[in-house]
Amino acid sequence: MDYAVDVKEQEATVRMSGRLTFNDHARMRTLIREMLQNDARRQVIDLANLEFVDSAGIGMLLIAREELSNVQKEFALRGAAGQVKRVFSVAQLGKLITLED
Amino acid sequence: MTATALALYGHGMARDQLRRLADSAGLALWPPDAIDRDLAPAADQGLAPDPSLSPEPSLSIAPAVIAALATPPGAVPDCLWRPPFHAWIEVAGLAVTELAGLVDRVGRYTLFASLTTATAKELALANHLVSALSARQTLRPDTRDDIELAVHEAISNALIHGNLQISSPEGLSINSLERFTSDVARRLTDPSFADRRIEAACTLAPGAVVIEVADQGLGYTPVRSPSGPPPARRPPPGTDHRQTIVPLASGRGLDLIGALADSFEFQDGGRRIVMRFRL
Repeated sequence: MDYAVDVKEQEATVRMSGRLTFNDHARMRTLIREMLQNDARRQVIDLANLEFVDSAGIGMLLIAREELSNVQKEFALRGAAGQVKRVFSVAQLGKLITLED
Repeated sequence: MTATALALYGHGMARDQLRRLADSAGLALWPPDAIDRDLAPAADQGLAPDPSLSPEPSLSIAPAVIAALATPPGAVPDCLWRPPFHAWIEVAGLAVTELAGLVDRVGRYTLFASLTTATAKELALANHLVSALSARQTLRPDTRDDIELAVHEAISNALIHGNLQISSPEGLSINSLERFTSDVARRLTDPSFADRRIEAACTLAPGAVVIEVADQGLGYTPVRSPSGPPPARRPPPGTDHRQTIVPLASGRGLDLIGALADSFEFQDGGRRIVMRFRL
């Protein structure tokens, strides 16, 4: 998994690409820290270029949501497509995290 | 498939080692004259076999090639996951008898892989296996995605919980993620964990594929009865999933496997999961 963070005033957009799996715990930990530390009140992960996510990846997204909620930051996922969108549907992730088109 | 139809190709391996392996396992080399025609240097660089080299007549009919992978194998090129390759064996630390045992198992399956934990963790093995399967059997895109995720979850469980004997992160916090990451890194530096093997094998049957994933850990006792019905059935592509399945960070992904496979069961004390998918 790779990502790039773009902070603009109230919203930080994280463009994520590649595969988000159990192999990305360390990188995801770093990303969550970045999202906690930047000044934007709202953090959005853009998943349009993410090819694959597994249950560990979903677990890490839930950890991001929890940690950001602890510091009163909003969190949303945007643009899931293909396999990622299908897994979110299977996991009914939309009940726990805001999903945007 | 008989043993005589099998041949061996070396990826990232020295020519002497490859020749010894082929001799010890009673296998022909593929391409058969790779060594004499100086293909070994290409293999050392991880390049594909040269298709212009004509294999022996007996192999040209239906060659089934085992890719012997060095440790670490580095990037395995995509062409090594396409026919005629149908088995991938990392040869690190294998005794001759162990290699012979694996070669014997290769013949029982459509696809077969045996890798160390350290290597399996770095390779997107499920993705490669499903690509290899797609080269032999047309799969609908949704079906392909479902099989890949279920196999990936089974491999993740085998790696993390089976061979490395590590529990999932506890609780939804960055600290639990940190502990988990350092536990994995520490176990991977210990050869008694990192060298344990992951086996993944596919069998194509009429209208279905059976995929097995096995580890060498302490075993696993499933919460649900293995003989009982799976927790969920895969709905036809394009329909909504009816059950709420939210695999939390502490989950093993088994709910996902239950939702994606048509059935699954554990064998060998939980060290082997056997999943069946309708095609």
